[in-house]
Amino acid sequence: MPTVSVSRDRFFAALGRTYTQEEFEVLCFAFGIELDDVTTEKAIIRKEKHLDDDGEVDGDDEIIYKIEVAANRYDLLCLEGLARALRVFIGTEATPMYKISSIPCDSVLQMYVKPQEESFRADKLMEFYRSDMKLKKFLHIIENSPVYPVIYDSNRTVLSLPSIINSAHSAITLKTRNVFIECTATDLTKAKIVLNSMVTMFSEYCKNKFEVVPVEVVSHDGTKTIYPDLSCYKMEVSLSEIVGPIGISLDEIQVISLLNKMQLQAESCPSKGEPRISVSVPPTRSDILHARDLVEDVAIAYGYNNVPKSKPKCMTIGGRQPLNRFSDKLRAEVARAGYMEIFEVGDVVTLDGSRDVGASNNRRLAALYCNSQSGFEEIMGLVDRIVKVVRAPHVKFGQNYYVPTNEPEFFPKRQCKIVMSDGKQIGYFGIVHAEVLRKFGIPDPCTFVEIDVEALL
Amino acid sequence: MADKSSAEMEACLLAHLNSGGEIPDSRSYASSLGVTHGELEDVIKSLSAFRIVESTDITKETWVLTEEAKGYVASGSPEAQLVAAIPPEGASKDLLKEKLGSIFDIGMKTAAKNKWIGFEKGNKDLVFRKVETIKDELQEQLKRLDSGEVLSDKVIDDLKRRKLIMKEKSIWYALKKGPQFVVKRKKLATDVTQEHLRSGDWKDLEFKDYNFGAQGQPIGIGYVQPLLEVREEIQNIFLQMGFTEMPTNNYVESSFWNFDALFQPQQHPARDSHDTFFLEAPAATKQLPEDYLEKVKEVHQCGGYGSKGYGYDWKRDEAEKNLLRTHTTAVSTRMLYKLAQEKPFAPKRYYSIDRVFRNEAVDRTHLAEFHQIEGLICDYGLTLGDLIGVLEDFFSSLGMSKLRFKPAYNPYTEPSMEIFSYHEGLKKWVEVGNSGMFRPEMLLPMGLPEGVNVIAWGLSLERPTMILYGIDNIRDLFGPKVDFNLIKSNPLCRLGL
Repeated sequence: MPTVSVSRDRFFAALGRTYTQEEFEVLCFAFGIELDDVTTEKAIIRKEKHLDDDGEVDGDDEIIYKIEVAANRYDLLCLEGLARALRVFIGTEATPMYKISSIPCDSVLQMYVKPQEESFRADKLMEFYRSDMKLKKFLHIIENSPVYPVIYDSNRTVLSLPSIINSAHSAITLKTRNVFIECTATDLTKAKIVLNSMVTMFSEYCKNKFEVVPVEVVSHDGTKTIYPDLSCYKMEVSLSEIVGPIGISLDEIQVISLLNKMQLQAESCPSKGEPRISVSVPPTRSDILHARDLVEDVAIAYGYNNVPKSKPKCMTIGGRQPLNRFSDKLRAEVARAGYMEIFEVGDVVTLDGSRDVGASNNRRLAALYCNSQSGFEEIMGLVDRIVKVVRAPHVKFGQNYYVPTNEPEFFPKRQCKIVMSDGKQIGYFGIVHAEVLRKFGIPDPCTFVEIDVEALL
Repeated sequence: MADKSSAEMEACLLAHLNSGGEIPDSRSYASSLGVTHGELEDVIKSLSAFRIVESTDITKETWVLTEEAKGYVASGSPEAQLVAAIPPEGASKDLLKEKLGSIFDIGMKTAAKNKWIGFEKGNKDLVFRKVETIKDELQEQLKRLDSGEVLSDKVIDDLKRRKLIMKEKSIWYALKKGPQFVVKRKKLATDVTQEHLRSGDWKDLEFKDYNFGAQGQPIGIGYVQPLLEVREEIQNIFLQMGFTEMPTNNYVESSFWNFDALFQPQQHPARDSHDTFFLEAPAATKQLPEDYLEKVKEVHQCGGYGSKGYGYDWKRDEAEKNLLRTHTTAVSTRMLYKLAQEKPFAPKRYYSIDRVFRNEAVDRTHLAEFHQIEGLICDYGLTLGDLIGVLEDFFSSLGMSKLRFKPAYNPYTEPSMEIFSYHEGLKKWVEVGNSGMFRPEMLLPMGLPEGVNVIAWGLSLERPTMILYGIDNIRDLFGPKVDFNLIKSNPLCRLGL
């Protein structure tokens, strides 16, 4: 989850009141954000430089709130958006209407997209930025593209090499009055979301508050699009679609007022049957995809902890997976035999072409005896016990189920496999070879057994 | 010498005290019984401990013979041995030295001083006897001392100087009847034996006091993993609530079932290799349900079922990438898809507790693999209120009856709630799990009927176990550095009791 750092005092000023930390945390909890940390710029710098509390550092002493917000709420990633959302939530402000200035068609600013007009060598440039710690992580976005994006102004001065760096020519200062906001992305949906988030947050400071001057983007094929698109996304839902999944009964007026607290404009629709509500989702709320998202916002505004609890009515019967139940019985048997459990019964994964993913789990039982002597007979006794308790009409063992083997991981003549009466191997055991022990740094002799549990089920 | 058992000695001693009264000197009493004092001493100590007799210690320091002196008592003093070794015609020093060995020098010296021997003129090497008989005074003195006679201080000093005697402290006892005196004491039993039961002796048994301050015998015993003990109890809670266990024995999963089917977009940061273990082999899934895959692709790209969708170019390659499942919700998704294919629809309650994998930095509270507990209910018309009700039932069985819910974000649930519980020990609200209602964009492409909702929740098994047992390092609990003492000393899991 992203964390947003804001100056506490500036934030409270924007909220129009101050809070004790406790009060603020209660508000955060209800809205679904979290006060993650309370710190200062100085403390942050100290932490970065690994200095103790007395270390002399630059930086401010003003209190900083680090606030964790939901990953899909891009409108909460700055002080302005966060403060506005909370002001609307507590009812001290109405949701703003964002709009673009109406400008005569012929005086709209234009931006032209022209591919491959000229040829430059940019590979050297890439090499140059690769050595920059901050910028190198953005190189991959355009590195393998046949063309690199570059933005010029009308005088052919470079403004930006998007994803990597902007020109000093276009840097804004406190004296800047007209700010040109440009967003570049590899995905148009995302680009629109970023642009809308940026312009709506900036628009709070515009001469005409919440009003943005549009730009016409002329594509290389001549198609023209006006950006930003600040229109609201219209949704029409029935009252029951909203209150049904929450399990509360409200009328449409109540629901509309709850939606309003979440920055969603809504009004009652004329309808003959069930009440219906028309909702306008502002350009800041790209997270709203479905009526279900409105349900959540109404539930938050209503208060999760005010929702009356109820019980699902469906009758179902509980039950366990036979393999897991069987594994538990074997685990208990091995513990009864005096072994300490450190997950001796668990799954191993092997390649398996018969499965959709190409691999499958296999349940195994493993036991290790370690002492001043190898304990070969101890493990043999455990296997005898397991063989005795797993016998069933479909799980048959003959009189002698040990067949000598010759595997390198065990000492020769002190190892064998365990076979069922049909000859199927279900496990093996032996005194672990000294070379194996040495590589694991084990100084004492060990006997190890592994058994395929699924073969015994 | 010891031809009396301690029981016999005890019987004699008690009879003697009973008839005559006192024993002033336990040493002489021992010799009268024909036993050593040491043998009698054990009987005296046992009787005194039970205050059957009262003993007074008598201690005295006495001179006793050294080993060397004991030899002289048996074979004569060195000088006497020397004289006895000289034949009438005399003998060379070398011959005598050979005969007498280590005592030759001292024997020569004293015999010469006593004028018992002489030397041939002009040949100092030939030794003659000057006397017919000698009186071995040293041997006599040693014999007298050994039999308890008191010698003059001068003799004692002389013997001491020659390291033939040494001081020894001896203890013996004066005995009389004690306050608990009995002629025959009862033997206190320490245990019940087969013999007692068979013979009927148990009726007369009187038991010795047991030392309950001592520890019991260490016993050979097996132990179960604390984490799996907690798993079993949580499992029982699910079973009581009518939940069926899901088959979660598939650690390798495709991105499709782990992410795409859950409406988790392909650019989501959780799908980055920094968070998820992708596999090199088997790298990709070969088989996906084609009809369903088309619907998933559609809902991601352009929406449907009332949704806008994410509006991006969905790629099959990305969905086919294999990984170690990051949550057991991948299994829940498979189960719900399977349920959607069964007609008519029947409600289900499912649960699982199994291993999941995250490519995370390992520290005291995080491992790259852990166990996820998950529960879900699928039915028509389920509500957020139902979810809250079920969570209260579930968590109160775990001993957490005070719950609070915080709005949260999760790509596949809407609404989503983080679950907080008030921790009495820490005196604060702690996050104990996540929950929500699965999104329509996840359920409807599967083919589940409109109006069917799924409420679900999840938490880790390790966190409640660590809180329950006060374990502050997850590596003590799970993995190759597991603490054996922790497993051995862990109390029973009382969840749900």
